[in-house]
Amino acid sequence: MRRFLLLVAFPLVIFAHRVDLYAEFNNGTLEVFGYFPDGTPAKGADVKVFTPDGELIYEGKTDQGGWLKIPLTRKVERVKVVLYAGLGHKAQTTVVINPSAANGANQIKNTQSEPPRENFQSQPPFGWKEIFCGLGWIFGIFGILNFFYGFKRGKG
Amino acid sequence: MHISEGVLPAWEIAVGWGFTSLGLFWGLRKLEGEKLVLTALLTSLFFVASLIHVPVGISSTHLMFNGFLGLLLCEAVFPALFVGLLLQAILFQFGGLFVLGVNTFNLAFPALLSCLLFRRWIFSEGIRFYAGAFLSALVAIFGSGLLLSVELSLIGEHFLTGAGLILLIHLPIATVEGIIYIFLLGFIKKVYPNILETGK
Repeated sequence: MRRFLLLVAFPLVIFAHRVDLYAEFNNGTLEVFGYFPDGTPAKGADVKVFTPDGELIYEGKTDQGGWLKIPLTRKVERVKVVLYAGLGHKAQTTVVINPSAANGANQIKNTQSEPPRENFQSQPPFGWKEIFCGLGWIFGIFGILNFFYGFKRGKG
Repeated sequence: MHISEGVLPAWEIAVGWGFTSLGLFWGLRKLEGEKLVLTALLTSLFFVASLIHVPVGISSTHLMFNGFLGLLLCEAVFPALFVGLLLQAILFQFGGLFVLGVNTFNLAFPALLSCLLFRRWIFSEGIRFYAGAFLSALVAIFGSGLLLSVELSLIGEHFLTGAGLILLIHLPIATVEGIIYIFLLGFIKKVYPNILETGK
């Protein structure tokens, strides 16, 4: 009951279509941000950090703002960051840490194209182009099926 | 209710694909003539409807419409939802291609159950019609949630917490969808009742 009340009091938006993740390495700290496509932060999401060998080196939860800051003491070339927001919503990314970079920072290889800013504005997770494209595909697929069934009928 | 890639173990994905393949095989055998056109139209409805977000309290959820497809298409709901989810995975990165089998089964099986339980009711009049339309939404949505909870409990998530949360979140959307089904089916019965017969 207590667990259930906690869930009600601090709801995650875990019924969204998907969760997204952005991670970067700055001055010895790995900063992870979990968010849903509408821009809502993924609060209390589980974050795990793995080495390239698959060794778990850190485990934690995002805060109310969707952030988790991890002091990365271990010397590794890259880390895999996995975020799990519950009910089957998971995102992962790889952060490449290059200590030889001039600014002492990093090269980032991220699955997200747009990193969230401080004034992060929510983006619609889909555009009209994709919607009409999908509708076109649906009628195309069923059109081909219709052709196939018509051919079968004609043969019979 | 899209499960992301990398969440489920390989055996669950394989089982999901197994059940979905059976459903697809069965559904495709029944997909001919006018039913094929209706299936294409309802796949488009599912594809678009699940992009519509409905505010629930401080957050939002989205329409599902799997119960509606189930009522009208019965076994053909498998190919309809498979195509809809495939395109959502490719175009919007909802779910994924490996877990497509599981995601399709999660939505299509309860929808088929709605058809088996309530399809005859929607040809009736009065309270039986309203109850059939409304309950089909509840069975399809909560059935999908229950399957999701069971699958996640197999990988260590607390079953009761997951199921309770799904129930809590989807109660408003199931209610809204139930009311929408009543209006939609009532409208179809009045203006184009042949559609209901096509689904047989």
